Amino acid sequence: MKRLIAILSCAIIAFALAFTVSCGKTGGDASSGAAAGGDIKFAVCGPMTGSGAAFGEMIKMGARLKADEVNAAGGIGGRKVVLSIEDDKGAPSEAASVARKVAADKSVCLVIGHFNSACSNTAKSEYNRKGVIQFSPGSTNVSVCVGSPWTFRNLYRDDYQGTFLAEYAQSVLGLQKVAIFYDDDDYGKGLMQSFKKRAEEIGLSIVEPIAYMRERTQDFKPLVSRVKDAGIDGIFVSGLHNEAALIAKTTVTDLGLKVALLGGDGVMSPELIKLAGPAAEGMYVSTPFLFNTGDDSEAAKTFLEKFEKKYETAPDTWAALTYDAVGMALAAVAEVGTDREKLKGWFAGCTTADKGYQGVTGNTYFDSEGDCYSKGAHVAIVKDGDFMPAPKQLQK
Amino acid sequence: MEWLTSLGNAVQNPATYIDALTLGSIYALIAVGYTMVYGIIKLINFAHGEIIMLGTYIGLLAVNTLNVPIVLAILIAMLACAAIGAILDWTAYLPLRRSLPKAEILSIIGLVGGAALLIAYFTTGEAGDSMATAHRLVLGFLAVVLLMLLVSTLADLLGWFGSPRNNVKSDRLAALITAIGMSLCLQTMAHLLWSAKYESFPTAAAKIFDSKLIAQTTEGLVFRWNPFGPPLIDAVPVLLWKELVTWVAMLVLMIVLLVIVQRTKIGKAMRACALDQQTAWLMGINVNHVIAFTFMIGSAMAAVAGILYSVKVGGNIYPRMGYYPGVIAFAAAVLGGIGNIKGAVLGGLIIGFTEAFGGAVAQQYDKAFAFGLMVIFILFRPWGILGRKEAKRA
Repeated sequence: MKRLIAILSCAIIAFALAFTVSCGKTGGDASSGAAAGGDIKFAVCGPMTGSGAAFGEMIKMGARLKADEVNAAGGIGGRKVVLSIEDDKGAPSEAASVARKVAADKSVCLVIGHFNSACSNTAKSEYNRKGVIQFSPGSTNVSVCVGSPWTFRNLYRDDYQGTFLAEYAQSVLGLQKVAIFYDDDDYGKGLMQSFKKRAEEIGLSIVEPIAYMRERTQDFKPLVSRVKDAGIDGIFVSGLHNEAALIAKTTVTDLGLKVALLGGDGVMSPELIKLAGPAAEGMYVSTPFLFNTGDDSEAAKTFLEKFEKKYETAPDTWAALTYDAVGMALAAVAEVGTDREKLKGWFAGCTTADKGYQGVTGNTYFDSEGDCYSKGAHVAIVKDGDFMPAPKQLQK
Repeated sequence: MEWLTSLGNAVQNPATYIDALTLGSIYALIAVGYTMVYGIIKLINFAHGEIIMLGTYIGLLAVNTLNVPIVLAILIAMLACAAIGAILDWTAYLPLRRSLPKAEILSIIGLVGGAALLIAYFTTGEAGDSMATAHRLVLGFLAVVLLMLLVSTLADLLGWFGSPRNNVKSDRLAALITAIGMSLCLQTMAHLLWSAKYESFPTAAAKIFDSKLIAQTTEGLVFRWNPFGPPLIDAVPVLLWKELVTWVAMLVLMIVLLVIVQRTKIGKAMRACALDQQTAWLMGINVNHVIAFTFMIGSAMAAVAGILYSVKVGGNIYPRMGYYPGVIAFAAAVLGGIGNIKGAVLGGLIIGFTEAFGGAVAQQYDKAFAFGLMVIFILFRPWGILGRKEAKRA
């Protein structure tokens, strides 16, 4: 009897092994043809896992949508588009190793990413050394493109965003005194500084900004309690959506504060509303691009339709920006091919409106650093569980 | 002397005490899990933080899919976590406690099989998509774990591991490393099952907990004993229901625990095992059952703590959520005297107060204050506040 059980168990194990190995094989066969030579290969780098996974998901979906579209139409000059999705977990240390791996891969002609500013900043030295374009659809920190001829982005910088938000807070919302909570990384700190600088210039008083650590600070009650009695009428969160949701909940339910909540574009994710629920209602968020403005462009409308049809969920700002980034990169490849040096020449030459790429989020062209000033900022407000354009936008 | 003013403000502010007591209660609930397991098998169960996480996810699932009220969700999570605790012990730690005459060969077969699996996954993975490769790698790793479990269970059925009475003292280092491995394994499984996205209890479900018990209005303090009544919209909350619930839950569960340990037969067996396992075997106690029971109790407490913690901070449910509360509660268990249940409660409360008042002085360092206190204790009183001096350190 014992012998029988032993033989049986060995058979089961052998079967399990053979089965899993064969499964691995079929998975490989189906895709091995796709990565053959002659394809156009982009690396899409972002926080696919970790606390920023919601962003990574949208980036992935936006990039895939564009690539699938182009492939369905026969590719670029008969060449197929292949995306290599790379995960930097939103952590600079991971971004460095992703950059090493991606830059060393000769078949990758261009990098779409990274998303978090701290990741872009860390990765850019590697991309510069190896000479591959880093085209970010999400990093807004001021220093991302500085001193790096290979780095470009298709949205505004944080000095623009911070200034914009501070002016909006004062002149449109009429706030007098604002408390700031900032994520202690490149993005959160940079945005906080530019907001604070502009606020001081225009006479909006600021309570000493309070830092928190992403994923480490979990209980925001002690932090918000510190500014509770400072006579504030607004709270500005310079960070990402998870923490903004916790701050909103603490402010509204735990402390019962009645203040205006403001956030930078890092807060701009449907996850904010899912996490904070009614506490996020009425929160103002700045964003480089917004759907449902009432006068959406035709491109935006078709994108929205196609995205919802394919993924059965609504796209967010980052999906649209990534979709445009991949589209622009493919436009460059269509003109100059996949040579890294030639691609850089195309991007660096794209400096005027008529040479720019007309996409869903507007016209993208660069200044001499690789920054993009052609798109403004909008303010969205959370209303009935959705991001809507704020009734009053800043008039410039 | 700015810090002195902020400390003064904190001392005069009742909110600091409320917060300290709430945090302390949650840490105490977690710390008893560490301390009980340590008391019996001298193992620091690093997977305890993941039990917190699993308990919270189970509570969330119960609320979201079964639409049960959150109190019932806590009970479901307690039961489920008790089962998970027992399974954790049987699969990860029990094999280490038995004599393993032929287990080495089996482990080698399992590892080679696992390695072959991993190589197969790696070499045949979709070249264009490293996410898929990572996913496969993880799945391969989990397959190895499952394979090992299958092998060891079958071998156990065959009696290759010897009868439980051949119990040998396990290697404590091996058990510790297994605990770390289980912690990573459970985290990864949670990651695959529920993704890394943050979750929170839906506002409608947590409404009772979020409603105000005592609030400050223009006419003074208002008591609202009915959490189902209309909300006090314009009042400033002083005490919320969730805070009171946390204190009461801690108090009740600790009394229940002490009754179990001091007054019941299984409690007597637990104390006997903590004193001397070999003798306990000789007295006819099935030590392995007692250990499994200990894991079950500690895990059930962790489930309560996890859900209450998530409700307190307003969300924060993600695969790594158990890490910080776990290590802080571990510090609390060491502070109170590891192996001592009352010590764990006391240590939890002290750490809670240290964190709340330290955080009022310098917010970024709130956890540093808690760990600093632990370091001081390890230096000058390593057996903790209520621990026995003759007890050897880990």
